[in-house]
Amino acid sequence: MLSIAPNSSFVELPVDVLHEAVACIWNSMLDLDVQRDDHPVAGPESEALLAGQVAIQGGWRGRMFLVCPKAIARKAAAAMFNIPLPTVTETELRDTLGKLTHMLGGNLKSLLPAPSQVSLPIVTEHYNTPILGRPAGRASLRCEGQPLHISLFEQECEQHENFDR
Amino acid sequence: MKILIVDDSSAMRMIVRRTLREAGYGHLEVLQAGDGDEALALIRKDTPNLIFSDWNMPNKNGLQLLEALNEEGFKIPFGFVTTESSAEMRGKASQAGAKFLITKPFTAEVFGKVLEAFLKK
Repeated sequence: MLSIAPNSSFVELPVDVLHEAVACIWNSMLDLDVQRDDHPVAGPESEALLAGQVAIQGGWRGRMFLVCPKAIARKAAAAMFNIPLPTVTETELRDTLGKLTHMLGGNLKSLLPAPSQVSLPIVTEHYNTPILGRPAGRASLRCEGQPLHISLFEQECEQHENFDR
Repeated sequence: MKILIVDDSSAMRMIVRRTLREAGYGHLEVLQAGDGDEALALIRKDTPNLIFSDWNMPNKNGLQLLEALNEEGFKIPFGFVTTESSAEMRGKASQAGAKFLITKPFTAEVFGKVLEAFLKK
């Protein structure tokens, strides 16, 4: 399933693998279905997005992002906390996306060179593609009609001091 | 019978509670803590019969919590509920005395088997 460049340790996780990992978590934890979106269209403005991220350090060094509109993060939080949608607080929203991101990072870590550790998640309101790091996996998915984006960026050797936060 | 759930995410604590109910153990008293420090303080006051702990947490992580419990002489069945399950982590968990390691995402069936092994309904 993994494609590894012949002359380097570069690993790229295929879309199917990313989809399966996300779908497994969202289905079992939230009872929400996630589909592949092979023809993504422009999503909401970045202000309406939430981005969860974790750093993976060790045998593979990089960062994984799970980006989605607040609307679907709210649905996920409502499902996770088993509460009505309008009552979801900002804290519950961020807690949910952070946990989903952390779970995904932990699951994907097992597909990357070991041993590695996954950091605690960070959730931000804006998502900017990291300047540092090369793409190591990207998938556009949909859940309840809303887009979900997963991306991994591998830290390049010379970027040690700037990559960590 | 008391179960302690230790996780920095209240969402995950909620899911573990729901899963316990789905596994047929909704009648058990559930205690909760948001990190290892909070858990340790709670355990000293109100000892549970079984502990489900996350691994990665701020302040004191799950492994440090287990080690602290060992140092203080607690003999409570302790298991991890974690996103990671590398051989290295399983080795460390086992060496520290953890009885099981459940990987997220999980099912009620998995929890049911663990609870069946350590508790009587």
